[in-house]
Amino acid sequence: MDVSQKVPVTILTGFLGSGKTTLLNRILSEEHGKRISVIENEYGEVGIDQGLVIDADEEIFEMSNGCICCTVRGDLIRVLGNLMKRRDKFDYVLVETTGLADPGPVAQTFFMDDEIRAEFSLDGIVTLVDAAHIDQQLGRSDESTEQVAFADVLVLNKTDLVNDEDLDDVEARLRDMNRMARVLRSEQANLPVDTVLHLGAFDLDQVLERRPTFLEPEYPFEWTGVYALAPGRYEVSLDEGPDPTMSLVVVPDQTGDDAALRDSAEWCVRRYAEPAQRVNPGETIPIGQHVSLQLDGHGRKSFYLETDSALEVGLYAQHTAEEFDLKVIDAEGQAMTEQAERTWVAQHEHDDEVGSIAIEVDGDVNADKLNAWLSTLLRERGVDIFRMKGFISIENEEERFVFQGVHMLFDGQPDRPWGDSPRRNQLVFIGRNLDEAEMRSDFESCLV
Amino acid sequence: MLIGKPSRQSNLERIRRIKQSLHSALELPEEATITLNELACLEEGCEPIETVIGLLRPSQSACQYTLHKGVEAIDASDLARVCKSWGFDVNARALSSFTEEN
Repeated sequence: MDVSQKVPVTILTGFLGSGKTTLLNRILSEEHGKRISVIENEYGEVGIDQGLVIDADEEIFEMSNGCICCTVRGDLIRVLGNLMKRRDKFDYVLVETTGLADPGPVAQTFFMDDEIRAEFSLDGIVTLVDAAHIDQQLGRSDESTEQVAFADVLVLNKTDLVNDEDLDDVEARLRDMNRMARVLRSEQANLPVDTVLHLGAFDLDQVLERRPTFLEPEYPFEWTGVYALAPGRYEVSLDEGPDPTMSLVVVPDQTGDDAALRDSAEWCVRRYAEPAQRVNPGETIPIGQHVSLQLDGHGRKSFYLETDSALEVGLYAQHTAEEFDLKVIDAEGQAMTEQAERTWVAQHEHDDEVGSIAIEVDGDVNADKLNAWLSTLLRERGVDIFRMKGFISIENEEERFVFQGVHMLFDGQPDRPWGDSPRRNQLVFIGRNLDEAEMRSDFESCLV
Repeated sequence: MLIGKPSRQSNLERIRRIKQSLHSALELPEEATITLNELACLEEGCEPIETVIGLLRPSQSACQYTLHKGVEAIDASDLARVCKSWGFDVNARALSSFTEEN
């Protein structure tokens, strides 16, 4: 399957009044050299310089695909079929949905017919949201929630109508629902065309490039510093910070390489789940236990670490060192430099039932086990899984396998060779009420 | 679609011929659409490969039929069965163009 030979398709979606038509007009009127064919619902067929605009009435059909059911857009299949006959007239397709449309049937249409799959590739889904109204819309409408969940790019439009603080809150809520999407802000859908076309929806690399920690799980701590201690007593000094207490676990025999840090992080998650022992200023911090440093009151506070032998320790702290100006001070009164330092994605409350699950695991998977798991997962939970994409490292295969899917349907292909890079599986699922722990454990059971 | 298995190249010419044969045998209007999806299935009791053929017409329910074989193995009698399952009384002669080209 050579994706480059296929016509890329962008689905443009967004609630009523979000600015879809403004963006569409901008795309069509800008000088970008692309011949774009537009399929939309709200206008008749109009010839325009850059391409074609074709009217499509929404015809949604329930279909089964083997043992699974899904919905597709019959009108879209027909229009795409007609477009295939005029293949030389355009090099890009843009599908605009109505404001109330569920993007699912539109996206699934690109997976449900072999001819369409051979000719077109779903390049990405762009969702516009009205920054002033999205908060209320998300509570009232399944469609707006699904439009956010499906997106590869979320355009937070009409930002001039909302203050900065509210914008940050809205953006955080959108990111919480869909960690995969790139969030862009605009006032009147005034975005460069390249930010919404040629997104490469298969391409998780782009997302990782923008946010390297995007696939990482959330942890109850934000920061780790590794220190090499000689026998003796050390002061852990903290200034006033955002909270009157701070949780901490000191891990013994900690080395600074990333694999060791990640191993200890998993161990620390279990320690953090245990009740914290209060440690007051002036007291010694027990190693290997969950403690709560008491930091209430003005001025710096000092706690102590003691060791009888040379020991490397990792301080897994609830907040970053900067937030409390954390210092480890030796017997000579010198602030020590960390052997290694790392930040983690901090855990937070998830208010919406729609959210993202990211799985990142090193090693190879057994293809048969993986297919059996995916088959069951998509049959049983496919309705609740809006999007998925990722890379898989398959046993005995030289190339990584890249895939993307919509609800129960997915498509994939071998990608570039692994070469010297570590063989790693990276998957993202966006859906409703997904059980992260269960999905992670089921995926891990597919490892060789 | 199975992860890790080489993706088969669709025989687009044959797929188009199947669609065209059905469209003309059923004397379908232009707005009717035939879909075809050849897929791998892991479900217990299912054939490893099957071809799902669908008929979509505005304002009517979708019709579908699954042939438990790949596109390459489909013959005129299979298509006649598909038509019959959709409620069309189609005789083999109507599908003769497909038979002849095989």
